[in-house]
Amino acid sequence: MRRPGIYAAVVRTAFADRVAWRADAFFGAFMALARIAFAFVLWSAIFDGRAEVGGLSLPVVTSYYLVAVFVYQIDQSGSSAEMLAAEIRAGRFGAYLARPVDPLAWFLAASAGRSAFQATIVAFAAALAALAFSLLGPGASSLLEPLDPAGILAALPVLISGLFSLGLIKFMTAILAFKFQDIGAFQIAQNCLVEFLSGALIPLALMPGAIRAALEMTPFPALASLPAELALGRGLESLPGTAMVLVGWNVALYAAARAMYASLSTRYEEFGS
Amino acid sequence: MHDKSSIIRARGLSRSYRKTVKAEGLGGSLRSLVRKRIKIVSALCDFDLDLGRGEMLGVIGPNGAGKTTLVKLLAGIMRPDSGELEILGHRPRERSDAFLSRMALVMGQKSQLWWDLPASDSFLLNKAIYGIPEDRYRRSLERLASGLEVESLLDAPVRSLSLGERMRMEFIAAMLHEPDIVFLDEPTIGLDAPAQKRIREFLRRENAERGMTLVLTSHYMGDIRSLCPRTVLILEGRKAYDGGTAELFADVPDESDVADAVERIYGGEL
Amino acid sequence: MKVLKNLRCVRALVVARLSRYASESGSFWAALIVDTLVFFIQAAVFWVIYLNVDDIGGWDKWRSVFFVGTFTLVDGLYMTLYFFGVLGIPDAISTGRLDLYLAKPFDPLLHLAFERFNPGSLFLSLPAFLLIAVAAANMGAAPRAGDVAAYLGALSLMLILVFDLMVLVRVPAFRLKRLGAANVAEGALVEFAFRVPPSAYRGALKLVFRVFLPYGLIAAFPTEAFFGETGVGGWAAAIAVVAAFTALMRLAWRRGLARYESAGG
Repeated sequence: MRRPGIYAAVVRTAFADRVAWRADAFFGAFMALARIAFAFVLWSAIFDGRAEVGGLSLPVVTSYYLVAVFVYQIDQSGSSAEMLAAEIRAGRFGAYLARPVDPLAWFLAASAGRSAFQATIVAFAAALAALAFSLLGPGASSLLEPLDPAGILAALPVLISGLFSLGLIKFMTAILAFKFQDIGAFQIAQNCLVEFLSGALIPLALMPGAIRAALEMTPFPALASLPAELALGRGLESLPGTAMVLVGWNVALYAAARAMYASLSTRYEEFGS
Repeated sequence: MHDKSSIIRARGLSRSYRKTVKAEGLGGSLRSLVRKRIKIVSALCDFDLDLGRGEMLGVIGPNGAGKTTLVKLLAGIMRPDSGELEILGHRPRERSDAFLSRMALVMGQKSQLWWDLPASDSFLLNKAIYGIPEDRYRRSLERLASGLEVESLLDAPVRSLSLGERMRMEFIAAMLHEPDIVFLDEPTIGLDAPAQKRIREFLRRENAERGMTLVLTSHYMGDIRSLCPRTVLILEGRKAYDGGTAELFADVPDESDVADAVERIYGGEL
Repeated sequence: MKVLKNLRCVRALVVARLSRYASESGSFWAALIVDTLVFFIQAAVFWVIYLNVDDIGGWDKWRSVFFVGTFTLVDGLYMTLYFFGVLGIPDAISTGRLDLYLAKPFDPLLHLAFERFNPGSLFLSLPAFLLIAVAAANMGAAPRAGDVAAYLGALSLMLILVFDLMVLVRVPAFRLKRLGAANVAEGALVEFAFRVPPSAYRGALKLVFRVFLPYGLIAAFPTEAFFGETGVGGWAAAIAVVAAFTALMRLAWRRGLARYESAGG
């Protein structure tokens, strides 16, 4: 087991690395706002002449997206995975092997640092979004469903667990680069699939019951749907069961990531200049 | 003085870069988020050059001296901030097809070959790009492949070749269209001594047989001494020497690194 | 002459890419499976919505299916032709790989765009054709040759527009070090403009998404052209928007090249 201080330094450096690129930082915040605006346009059209859709009102759906979209934006393990895959293909992975670091721990720490910075931007953008809705007019507050503070607190560990699971999945995807020449298309598809399964694209509450129940046994709703539902004061009673599922996934995915790395990393000797 | 037989004529070439400066640590990063500090770095300053047809010119200098900047200006990749430049009667900055079809660029640290395909497939692509007729293409490929001793490797994926073999393929890709002038930016970097020797012999032959003009940057004394009767030394973006290679390195052993040799000659001026 | 020359070079690039695909069967099948998965996810979004409502902004299920099919077809075509190549532009700029493209007598933008021609994505077009055919049949639309020609013409115009928009998003790489957020922004714009039926955009939003950020035009315009809803004015407007963005893209690219500093020693 390597010194944990190494990975704390990785977290700090990755955080600073994200801070350094201010165009990305401001643009990311702007686009989180834009995604909320687009969702509002779509759902306003869907709710045209309707008080409820699938048992949800427009204020609930709007608030759901406000939380789900911002929370889903926090994860930065995808960019870490793209960088790792590129390093493997370019023959630069040796930099990890030649130093006393654990590549998986490094990856998770770098993702955590980048995600931590992204979370500060997301919080800034969420505050702006709330301000924007309040400025829409006297009745604007009716566009949003009030959030539950206890639910928000409960959502934090759920989200962290989800981010950990997704980070492990992204790591396993990235190290496929040891075996396959081109995993870019696969990473794109994975991003689409995870976004759908997380509920960031469309509320899982609108899906048929059996499908929703099956999805809730996966770690993906923890990335968007679960935190949003908890923040709206829903699903608190099933939190213990949810926590068990998520912890189980964390453990299983960690073991799978370790095994996959041990198996695939031996192929690395074939590449490099 | 304008030399009418020159194929390269450069007067007062200058080029600088804007670099972002950030203090170390998280505090520096956060400060740079609010206010970006820019530093202007002069890479090349008031540079003149006349180069005749068939000449082979070495360009040397410490890292960051401006050698690669000069090559990129000559190849039309970058525009100078000021000055005049004419090559083969063209202004490189305009990047006309007529100019690009008569020159070639080989960069030791960048590859134009497709990694997952045999080099021969990359050559076919260049055949289309340069509009090389089929018979001329076949003749050129045969001549270059036998000259570089890679006939048996043309159908192997590039990723399976050694660095020396890949570099030879890079030369073939660059020379298929029989350019009049070739710019080489550290072409032998990372190669072992036999591979370097093979490349140098090849370039000498191309120059002797086709009158190809060459501009070469390198850190290896062997490259400069064996290929370039004339050398330009650039220090901190300015021309410090332009003359005979033999005279410049008269008292320097062959096995020296170019940077060491220049340091020895110019002492504390570096 | 230069256009023909560039087209010949593009053809040579496509041939080289097909060679690569033929020699890498794993990549070919991976791309096929992945593209099919992406299609199913996109279809699932609309399926979930229509499980709960009968129409969106007056568009019934089958009109939306036709719209989704058109979006998927455009998606498959541009992913085949130039998507992955254009995605690689910022990397080529930041690593200095662009140098070698600039040193050749072949338009560097076309070279970069088409060198990652991806035939695997063409399979995404197959379910798209199926969706379009099923939707048209359920809407009672018997397509005439003119409708099909209009549809194909509109589709071609939109492929040019998507190219322009993709390049414009990436041209800032000449000035900015990273464009990760720009990719995210573009993805969000594409996603919502393709997934929101044109009937949801009204007033100022319609102007924004059909003229200034014409992502809303990309799947909607061919759909409207097929059903004969565009008229001469609609065609003129669409052509004007595409011409304007093409000119803007070429200008931005040329300006970017002028300030290119070519990374690497």
